Amino acid sequence: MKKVLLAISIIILLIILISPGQEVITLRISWWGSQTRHDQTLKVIELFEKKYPNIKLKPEYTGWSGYYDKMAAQAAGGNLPDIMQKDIKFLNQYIQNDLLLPLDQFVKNKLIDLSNVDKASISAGVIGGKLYAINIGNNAYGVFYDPQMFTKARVPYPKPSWTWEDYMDTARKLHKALGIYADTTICNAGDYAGFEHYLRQHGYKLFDDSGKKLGYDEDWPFVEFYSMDVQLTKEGVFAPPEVRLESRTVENDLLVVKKAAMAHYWSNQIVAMMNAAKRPIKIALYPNSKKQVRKGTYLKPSMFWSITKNCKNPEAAAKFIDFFINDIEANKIMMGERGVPVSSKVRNALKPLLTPAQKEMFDFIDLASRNSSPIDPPYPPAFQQILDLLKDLQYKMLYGILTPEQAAKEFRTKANEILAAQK
Amino acid sequence: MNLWKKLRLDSLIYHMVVLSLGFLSFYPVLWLIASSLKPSDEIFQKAYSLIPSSIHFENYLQGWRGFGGVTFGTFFKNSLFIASLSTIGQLIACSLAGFGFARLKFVGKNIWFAIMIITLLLPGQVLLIPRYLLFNKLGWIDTYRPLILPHFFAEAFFTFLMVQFIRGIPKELDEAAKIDGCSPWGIFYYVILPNLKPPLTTAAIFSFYWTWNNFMDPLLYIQTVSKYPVSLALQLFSDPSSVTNWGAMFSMAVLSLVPAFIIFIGFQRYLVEGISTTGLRG
Amino acid sequence: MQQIAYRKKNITYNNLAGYLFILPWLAGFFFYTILPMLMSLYYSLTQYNILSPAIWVGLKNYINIFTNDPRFWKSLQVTFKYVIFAVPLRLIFALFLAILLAQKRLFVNVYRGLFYIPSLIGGSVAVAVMWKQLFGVEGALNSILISLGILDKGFGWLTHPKTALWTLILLAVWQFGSPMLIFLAGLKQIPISLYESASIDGANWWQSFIKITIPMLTPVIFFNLIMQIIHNFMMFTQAYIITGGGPFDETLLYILYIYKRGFTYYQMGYACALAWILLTIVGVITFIVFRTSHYWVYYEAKE
Repeated sequence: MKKVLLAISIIILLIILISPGQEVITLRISWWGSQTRHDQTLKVIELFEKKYPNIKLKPEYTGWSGYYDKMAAQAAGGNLPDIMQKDIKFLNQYIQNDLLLPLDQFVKNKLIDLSNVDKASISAGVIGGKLYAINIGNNAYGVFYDPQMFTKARVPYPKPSWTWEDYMDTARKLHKALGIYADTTICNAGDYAGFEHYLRQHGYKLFDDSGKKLGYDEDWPFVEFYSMDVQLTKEGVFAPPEVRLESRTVENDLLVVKKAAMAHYWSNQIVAMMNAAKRPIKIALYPNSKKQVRKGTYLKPSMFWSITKNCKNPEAAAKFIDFFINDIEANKIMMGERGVPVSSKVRNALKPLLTPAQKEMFDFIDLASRNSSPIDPPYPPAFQQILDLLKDLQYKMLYGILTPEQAAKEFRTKANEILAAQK
Repeated sequence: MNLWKKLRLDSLIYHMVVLSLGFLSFYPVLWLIASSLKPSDEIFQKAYSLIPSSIHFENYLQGWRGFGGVTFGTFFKNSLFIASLSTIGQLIACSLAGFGFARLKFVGKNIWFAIMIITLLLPGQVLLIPRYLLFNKLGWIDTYRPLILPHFFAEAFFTFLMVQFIRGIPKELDEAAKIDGCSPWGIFYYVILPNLKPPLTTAAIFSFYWTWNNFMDPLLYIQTVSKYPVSLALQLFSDPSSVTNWGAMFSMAVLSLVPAFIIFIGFQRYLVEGISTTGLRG
Repeated sequence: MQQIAYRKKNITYNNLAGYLFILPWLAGFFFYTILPMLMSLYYSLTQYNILSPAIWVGLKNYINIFTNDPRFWKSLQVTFKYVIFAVPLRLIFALFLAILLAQKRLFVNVYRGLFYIPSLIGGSVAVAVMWKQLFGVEGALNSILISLGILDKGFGWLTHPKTALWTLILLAVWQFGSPMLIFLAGLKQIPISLYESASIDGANWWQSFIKITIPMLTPVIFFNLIMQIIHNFMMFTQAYIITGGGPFDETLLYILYIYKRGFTYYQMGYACALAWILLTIVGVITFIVFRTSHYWVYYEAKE
């Protein structure tokens, strides 16, 4: 009898030891943001871990500054986290250096369900025919404006079909009626977006698809665009260069402190702006060009999730990404903080819960998606140098050191040199 | 009577000059403190005013609660640990090395001293990646070791400081001790060290607040948020592309000044005591 | 014979003692410094974007720096200008305040704190915001100048090409707490007996200052001079967070340029080459200061 009991207990023990238990998979995940985003993302992770108890996420988060320095060091040391939040500007570099995992297989087997996501939102993460990054929030550049100021100045609100001429006219009228700047600068977020829009509208791109030269070869778009800026700055309609150069955050933008009637940022910064301004702000599309061949606006992913090549459990990582973009409860926590959710199902579920600022953002993306053309391929690695050069030349024009014609030539020559010199 | 008046005038001028310079010097700090008590939007919109329209202590509460359940209590604890250990290590190391360079004769001393100065000349930025790779190979990422251990090796700055101060101590004291049969260690311990209070104090204050404020190394080496020191945690508040809680950030930045300031207050009385030269006569 | 043997043993003993004492520095040097330094020298001869392995290019980086890079020369010029003004100003203020605060006066501890705290703030984001709020077009300084009638509208101190660097120099001078502390320590090390004998001999305050204080302080002045030169050549954080190098590179301090090349443009090889060039330049300057120190630095312990 004893022998039988012993045998049975040994067999049971063996069964317990051998049978595959629920082993816990740990994934490292990194993102940048501020206090709000950290808190929200951690809550989303909690929800996810509840749903998938055998997957644990180890969060590593920082502020914006230093995030990429840290990632660079980790890349050099071969210990990047498993899931990384990425900005589109840095995608190309990481892909060219073979650091990211292609995700097409997960889309095919529905581990990452993109059935509710429209093509335009997916395409930005596709490079060289492979999907490397999942869009986790849509953004578009817009012109922010104070409707009450417009009413006071008796200027009509911007229409989606307004042109650059309408924009300048509006600006002049606002300046005359209200005595403040119409805008800090011509709509040119990041000191490049407006110029980029102008190029796109006329069938060009900022960077050629190969990334080895600029995407345009004549100087007139540069001259036309920046001449508008120089002219209106001379007239005092836009802020003078020394005011512009003072880097501002959303909180002390001239529009917020009532020293300008317009501003321009990403659509997802409307929340921060309305918080700071404490009054309604609306978003309008960038102006059209009378001779445009396509719409300049494009939907831009505010950021992506990518899985790095050294991830040992990519399926688990894929599950998280899928959860992040599709789970409704998770998105109720985030409410579009990173940009408008890409899943139409999620957007519809969130619509009734939106605050006025968030609603403005959602509506604007809706408008933008109907008035845009596909995003251009991601920027080449030397883009930062090019943008620095562009900004430098812009201020030389504003200070009168160069004419737009001279600056146009200098930009094209120097930029092409820099791009050609890339490996 | 005349002398008394003279002293009073002298005193008055002194205090007035120092106070006005002091106010100019301190004004930006006052601004920081005032901003930490303002509501977030007012920080930028009413920048010039030192007086908040309404006092918002909740900035401190919001700031303190930190991120995802990790409060600034943890961050302060971490910073304290790192900075204290580093400082202690550094004081020991640099006084030993300083004595070696300043007082002992050995082959190659001048060459090593020159090399030591040269190490100060290479910018830290280009050493970041190589050092990271080194510590990565050792498996020390996400530990405090890369942050604390290097301080147990004497740093050029502090060693050089010690050297300069030791060279100001009369050699007669050394010789007296040698005659009494002291080994180099004895000379170090009984003659030099007691006279190093001023520079050691200075080194302690510097070492503490430099490690306290250093955020680049923790940024690269620490991954787990609950291990972050204050310097790094402060940075987590700010993201220009979304809402930054400036009030919370400023409040914690103000608090972050407190420990280093306390160290300063505590140690600076050693800078008041004079050096005693009674060793020769006694 | 015995004497020679004794001498030899003594020398060996001295060598051993010397190396034991500097072991904390020496070990750190070999473990933590020399290897990364040599690696950075290697990288300077490569094209290295951090994300993938370095590619050998020989002296190409150095050649490009000297023949094809106007920003290199600009940043050298900016940095030299910065150092030439910041170092003396900082040292003078530091010494001046140290002398004032070395006296045993009422509240001197409080005063020391007032002057020292600004240096504690270092280079945090808060400092950047604060400095912008003081010197910005809408900032405190302009408000005061306007209300005094000196200006009629705000001037962009931080963003005007002619004044931007000066705001950074001012920031450096404002944070003079560190050299001030060292001067304080140095002042405290001067034996009071010297002053006592001097006043017995009838010397007044100025004579004591010139004949006792300054000479006795020269080792510390020397230290502060060297360290401030090195430290200010290496200045980075404040330029990075306040002006970002602009406008038109007028505040592109050399280290900031290195950082941009290395971490923003991902050209780490180029950045390392820049770094070694800086090392050479500052090394030469430091060597010169060391050499001339014979003539003006007085050590109590005669070597």
